[in-house]
Amino acid sequence: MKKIFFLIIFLFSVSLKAFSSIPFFKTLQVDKENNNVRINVLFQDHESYIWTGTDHGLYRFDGIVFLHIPIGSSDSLENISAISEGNNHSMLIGTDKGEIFFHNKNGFTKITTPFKSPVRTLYQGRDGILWVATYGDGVFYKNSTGWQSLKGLPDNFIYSIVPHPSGVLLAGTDLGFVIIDRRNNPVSIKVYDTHKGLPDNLVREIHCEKNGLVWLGMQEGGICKFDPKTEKFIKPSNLQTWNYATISCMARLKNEFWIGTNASGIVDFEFRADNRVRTFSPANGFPYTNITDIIQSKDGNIWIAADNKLLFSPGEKYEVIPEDHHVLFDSIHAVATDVTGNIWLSNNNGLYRYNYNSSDPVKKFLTDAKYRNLHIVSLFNDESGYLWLGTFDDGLFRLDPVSGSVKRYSVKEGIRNANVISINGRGNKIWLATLGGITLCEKPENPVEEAKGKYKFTNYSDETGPGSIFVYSVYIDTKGRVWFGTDGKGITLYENGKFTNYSYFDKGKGKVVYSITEDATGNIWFSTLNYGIYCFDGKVFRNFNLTNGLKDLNISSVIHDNAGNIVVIHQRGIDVVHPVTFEWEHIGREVGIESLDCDLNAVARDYKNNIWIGSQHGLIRFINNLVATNVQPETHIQKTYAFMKPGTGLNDSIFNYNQNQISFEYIGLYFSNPEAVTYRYRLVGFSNKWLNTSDRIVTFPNLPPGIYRFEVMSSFNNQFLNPVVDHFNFEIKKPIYKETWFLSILFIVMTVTLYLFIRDREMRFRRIESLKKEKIVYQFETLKSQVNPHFLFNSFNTLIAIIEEDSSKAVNYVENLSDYFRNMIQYRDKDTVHLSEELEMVKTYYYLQQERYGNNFSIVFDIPESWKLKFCLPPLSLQLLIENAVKHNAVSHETPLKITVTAIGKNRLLIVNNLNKKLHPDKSTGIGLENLISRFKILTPDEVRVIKTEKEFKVEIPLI
Amino acid sequence: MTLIKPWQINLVACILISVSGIAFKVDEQERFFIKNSTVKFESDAPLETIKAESSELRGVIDPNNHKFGFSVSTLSFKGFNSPLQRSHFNENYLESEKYPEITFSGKIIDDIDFNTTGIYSVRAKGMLKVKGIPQERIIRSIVEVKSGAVNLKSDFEVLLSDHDIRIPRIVNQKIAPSIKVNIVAELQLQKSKRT
Repeated sequence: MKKIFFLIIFLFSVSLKAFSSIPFFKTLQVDKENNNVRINVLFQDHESYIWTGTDHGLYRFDGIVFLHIPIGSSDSLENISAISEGNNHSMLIGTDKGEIFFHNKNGFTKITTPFKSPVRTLYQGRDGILWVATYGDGVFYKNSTGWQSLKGLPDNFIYSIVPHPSGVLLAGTDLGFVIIDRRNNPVSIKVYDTHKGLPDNLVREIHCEKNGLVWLGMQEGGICKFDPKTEKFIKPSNLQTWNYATISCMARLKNEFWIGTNASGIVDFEFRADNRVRTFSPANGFPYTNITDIIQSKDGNIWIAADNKLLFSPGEKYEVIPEDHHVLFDSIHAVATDVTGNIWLSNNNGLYRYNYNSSDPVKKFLTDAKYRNLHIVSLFNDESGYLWLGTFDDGLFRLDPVSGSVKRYSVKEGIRNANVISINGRGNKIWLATLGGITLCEKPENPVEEAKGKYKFTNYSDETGPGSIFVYSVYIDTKGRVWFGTDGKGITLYENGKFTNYSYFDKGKGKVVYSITEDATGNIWFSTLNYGIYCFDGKVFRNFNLTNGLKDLNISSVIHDNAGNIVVIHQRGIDVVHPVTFEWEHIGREVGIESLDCDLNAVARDYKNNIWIGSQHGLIRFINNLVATNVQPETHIQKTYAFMKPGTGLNDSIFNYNQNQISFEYIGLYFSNPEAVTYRYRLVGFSNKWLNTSDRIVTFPNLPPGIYRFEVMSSFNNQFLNPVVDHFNFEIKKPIYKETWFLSILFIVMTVTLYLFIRDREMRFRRIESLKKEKIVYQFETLKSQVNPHFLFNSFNTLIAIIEEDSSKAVNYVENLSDYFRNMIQYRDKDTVHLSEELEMVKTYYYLQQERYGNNFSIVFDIPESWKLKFCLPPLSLQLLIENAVKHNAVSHETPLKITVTAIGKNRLLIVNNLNKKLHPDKSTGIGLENLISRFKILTPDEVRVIKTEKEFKVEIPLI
Repeated sequence: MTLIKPWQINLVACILISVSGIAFKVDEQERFFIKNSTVKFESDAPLETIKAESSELRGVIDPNNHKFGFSVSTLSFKGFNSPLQRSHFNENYLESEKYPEITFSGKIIDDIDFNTTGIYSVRAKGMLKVKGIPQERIIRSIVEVKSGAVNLKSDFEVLLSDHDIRIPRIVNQKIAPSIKVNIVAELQLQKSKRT
């Protein structure tokens, strides 16, 4: 009982929401800050962006943002009157001042023009010739020799120039319609006006069909078809008189023309099948009257420029009909179609036949009071033209639509149960799904008997047939097999007189089956309670739920379109799934379909491939096959940033090593539902793994130097089938210290430095070595000279003399002598000694020698006191020079030896002694002085100078 | 869209100058000039209906190129419900001192044969200039062609908003946003004089 209760609620849910009787329109404002931006023209470029030319400049729309694109210097005030794409997809812009701009790498560049009137159309053919329709100055074209004015036009107010498939151009003017044959030289012109059958001289819009037929939109004459071969103008039969305002624009949809007018909104003319004409104007809830442009984008959506608003509409793809001729189509419980295109529907008010194209579109049936309380929950048109009605509690009815006669079949007449939930049939068999099992009713062969309603009823209970007494749906597939959806026992197949029950699959989830259909490949699709959709190929049950495409589990029905796609109607809208790729497309709130509250199986398909859905808010007409479902959004990388600073352009693809935080902003153009777009990206060179995101910006921080390729794709359904990938190649340069050239130079420099260093060290070692050697030699020499027996002998002789004279002085002398030797031993190992120490030594020596020579030997020092501790010199060097002077010169009263030690220059000592030749000169090795010179050389670059004159011997030594 | 073509200016100038009899060099051609005319307008507002008319419409139609030009002085309108209303009309709404003329000039779009007598319903496309603000208008007229004369009748509406005529909120129940205009004119073929 619980289940029945649920089902009843499901079938009779009520909602008060109301829809408008026009297609869904979404209103967009170009500039949110400025309400006065009026849109003049619309254009979709080869990258699928939507461009709006306004009286405040040019804007590009990507589904989310209107980006203002500056074109001139005083850009924001450009009044854009024409947009088109020329050769190489370069953008062409015309303004109302007769200016033309074209887009190249550096942005927009102005082309000088010989006219000042507004540009109405820009067209560049493959030959590169640019054609311009101006409003006041006629037609101009620009070839290799410059601008040419087209001669022979009936009038200079030109509305548009359109290329015709045959190669000619068509132009509409105030005074007729013109064919321009540009293949001739000079260009020839043919004018059509009212004399030649044109209904109205003022031709504002031209549309060329691929087969060469031309549609014209006129000021007062409405639209007409023109065949260039027969030169005949034909008005559509139901638009012989045009009761609307001036046509300003036209968009050719698949089955319809949407004609924009300057005061009566949009006129929708369905030129195929029905020739239906209707308007979208304030009278039926469309708030705009002045339409300036209409285009259909590649994805099938429609864009309308209405005053200061841009309107978006899914167009003819679906519409909601809440009422017609004051009959409300609310709370529909069942829908059926017949072969003549009528729609049958039942709601709480009764049964209606609806044909929107008929002069009497809505007809009510079963008006008799006895039928007033019928709850019709299922409808079926059989091949004989009878309409079958299934009701709650009141059994089955058969209506003859022609005569209006009604036959009733209750349990008494042989049907299984009085609650007939679903009816289907083929040939002479009609199957009923009831809340008591299945009933088969077979038609008698004789039509007279059939007219009398003499059917043979066969009943199948749960034991003999479906396995459950609650049967919710019956479907006959293309092979003639009959499928039943049951409550609790899954899906049941009737084939060759035998029932096969599939009650346990997918762990028993699909036990409650509501709706059944079949795809193009013959697989059976059905909806279940709470577990989504199953696709059964005869062996495997494949499940679709919220995790793999389905948007809602509250499914009211499934039906296939005539392309074999599965259309799923549920609480949140409509899902369409491709039976081979299993790609899902969702249509929902973004186009105004929401909270449909459809009754179970209140859906039918007519012979024109419309799918009719009965909802709480009205009858929904849905045409799925208008646009290929597997078109993924076009993905464009819009901006690159380094450290969130915009890059100078997408072509600048080289970044410095310290600009290694790169961000990309991208978009997938999916105007139907921009918010549904998800993205997948990767950075080849960093990781080859695709990452999913719904963000439109991604940042890669801290990228190491290298070559990268950023790839991004988008999807409207998160499935990424046949995606369009955009990419951006870039390079992060190595820092200078990682560049090869820098490293090689660095290597060379280091090698050279190392070489020089080693060489220098080698030399220094050698020098130290030689210094050591010199020092040893010197020490030896000095020692040798100090232990010179003459010196000792002389010293002792002096000592003897002093001892006799003055013993205390002798003690002093010996002390000095021993000081002298001690100092000599102490200093000889040192490299340098202070000048004061050396002088101390010399003074000791001087004392010793003075005791011997008395006043005949004198040394005069002239050295500033400050030098004594400031400068150094090799030990015993001054001593050696003094000794040498004593050694090589005779010292006597007659020839006194005078030595002067004088500071000269900044750091030099001059030692001068007079020359007194000895009678027997001491043998001199000459090593002493030489050794001294070489010792100085090692320690200082300043040289030792030795000057020998007749009278004097001068030695100049540098101090260190 | 609101540019006035040079020929339109010339044409208007030509009409005005030729009507006021000042020298102007034109080719010796035959044209239709207005002899008698009435221009009526009516503002049908919820609280008040205002009517006024002028018989001083001047104008010319060139039968050779189907171009035309008409002009009427705003000060020439008489009627109204009170003299105060008339001065309001001239001072506040139309600024007659600044813009003394209402002009309409352009071309005839539909076929008309000025050599054949008959009644034609034709559209005239041109610039309607009220209060100095031009609006492109396509106006249908009934033209009766007789030998050497043309009778013209036309009914159309002028939106105040098209010409930046602002009605104070307090009187917007008394003045309609759209003014009905009715024109009846007799034109005669004349040679343009060389003086």
